[in-house]
Amino acid sequence: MLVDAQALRVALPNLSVKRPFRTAPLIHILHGVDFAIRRGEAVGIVGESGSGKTTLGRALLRLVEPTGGTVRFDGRDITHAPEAALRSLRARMTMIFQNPLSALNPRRTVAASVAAPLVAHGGTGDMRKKVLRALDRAGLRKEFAGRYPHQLSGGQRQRVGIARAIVTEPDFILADEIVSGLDVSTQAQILDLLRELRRDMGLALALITHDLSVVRVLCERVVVMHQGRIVEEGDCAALFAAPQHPYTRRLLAAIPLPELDETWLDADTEDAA
Amino acid sequence: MTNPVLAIEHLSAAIARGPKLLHDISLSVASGEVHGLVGTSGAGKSMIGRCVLGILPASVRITGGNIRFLNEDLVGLSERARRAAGASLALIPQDPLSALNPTRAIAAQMTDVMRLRLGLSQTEAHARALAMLHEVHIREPDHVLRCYPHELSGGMRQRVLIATAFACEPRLIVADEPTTALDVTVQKQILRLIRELQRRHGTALLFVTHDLGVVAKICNFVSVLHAGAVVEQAPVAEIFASPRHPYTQALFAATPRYDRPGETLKPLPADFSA
Repeated sequence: MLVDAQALRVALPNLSVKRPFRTAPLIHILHGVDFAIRRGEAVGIVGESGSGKTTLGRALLRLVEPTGGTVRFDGRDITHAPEAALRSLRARMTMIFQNPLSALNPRRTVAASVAAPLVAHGGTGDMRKKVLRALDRAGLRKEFAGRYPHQLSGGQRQRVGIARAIVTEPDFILADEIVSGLDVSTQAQILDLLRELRRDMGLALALITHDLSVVRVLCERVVVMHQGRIVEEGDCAALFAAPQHPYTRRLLAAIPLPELDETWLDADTEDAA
Repeated sequence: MTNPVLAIEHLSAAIARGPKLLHDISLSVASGEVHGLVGTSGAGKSMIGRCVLGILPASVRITGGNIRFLNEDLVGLSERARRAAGASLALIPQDPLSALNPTRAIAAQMTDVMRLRLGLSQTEAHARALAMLHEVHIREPDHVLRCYPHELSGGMRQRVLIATAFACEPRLIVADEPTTALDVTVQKQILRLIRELQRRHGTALLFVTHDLGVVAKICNFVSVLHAGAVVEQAPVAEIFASPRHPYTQALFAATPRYDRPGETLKPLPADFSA
């Protein structure tokens, strides 16, 4: 296993009820989650807002420190590893963010943003070559290197985010809702690009999304999260053919397929407000 | 078809001394009908909605054609005359958080519109706001009226905006990607709610979306837009049975489906990408 999390728990201080001079009570976000991903594998993590999918992703990269359980990366226990010890691993596990406009520094050129991880890891010499190669892999011609984020379209910005994530030749990439703001055409291009990168670079990919259709395009395996727990997991083909958990069925039933169905809107979804 | 509520004829728009944004758009929406505008980013779908509502960016001009709304041409109407017509027009925006003023309670924001458009007193407007929140299935309307936007979830905020849009009994509502920012399960509830109110009030709806799935579930009629022009226009039954224009076919091929493996997904050919 490349990434292996067992009985993972995360709790954070609940600041909405914190009182002055008191310790904030903890709010439990993950309740013992087991999640593993093999080298080269793509796994979808799906669930609604608040289900804990982003927190799980961040715990895998050790961007948050778990309160219980273990996280291993390539056999090394990193559950409570200090940042200095994580540093060398950071080049091997990277992240693509949901909103590239806020994830890219508006005052840095594309090339500078993509080079930043190399600089942070003490890169020297042929940095420009590496940057251009990453841009090329992400489908951006070299004239984009000198541009600024505001000069790019949404799809091009997301390609910059991808180039930055692959520039250090990582083994594992976490992609958090990276296509949810894009229209179908751009979305299809980005999904196509990720599929190509996986094939060429042997990347392991964890794809966080609320859209099960996107998971089907890119992933072999899927885990469904609800209220901080994994309620169902399995191979995509099997899970989509016969979802077992009622929550998975409800998620699937809520996706509007592009085909006519007069009764779809009337069919049951609990109407809570 | 009965007399349409909205009839757009040969509408063109362009940036002043700049590129054309809309070319010769014609479409009509009857009362109680939901007309979908679908296309990729930059196709001009939101721009049509903005022409109808009279909220074009300052740099954009209508360069030709008519927008007949209830037999009055909205193009070239004075600000005062437009305001009078505006009472029968409403918008459900894409992003409910930026459409609401963060510093004012929901009650104030809902009643403003009703006092201005319907000439209601503060008490009457408050009562109507309560009734409307009830109609959008909000369980504690009293409480929600006292809330500020940040205290509500995305779905709740969108319900508030739907209630506000329907509150003045408009004849036409422009819904601009009203569910794009929401989770799928919430999206379904919101779509159902929009259809329920639209049917009850007999409102005509111009529904802007990039999601063919959403079109299939809520629209009666659809105009497919590409590069500022309508490339195909048909009842939904026809488009979903046999899309004729290559661009429409490409949109279908680029839409991911959980019931089909990934290899079947095809990005739009380069000449169709914006």
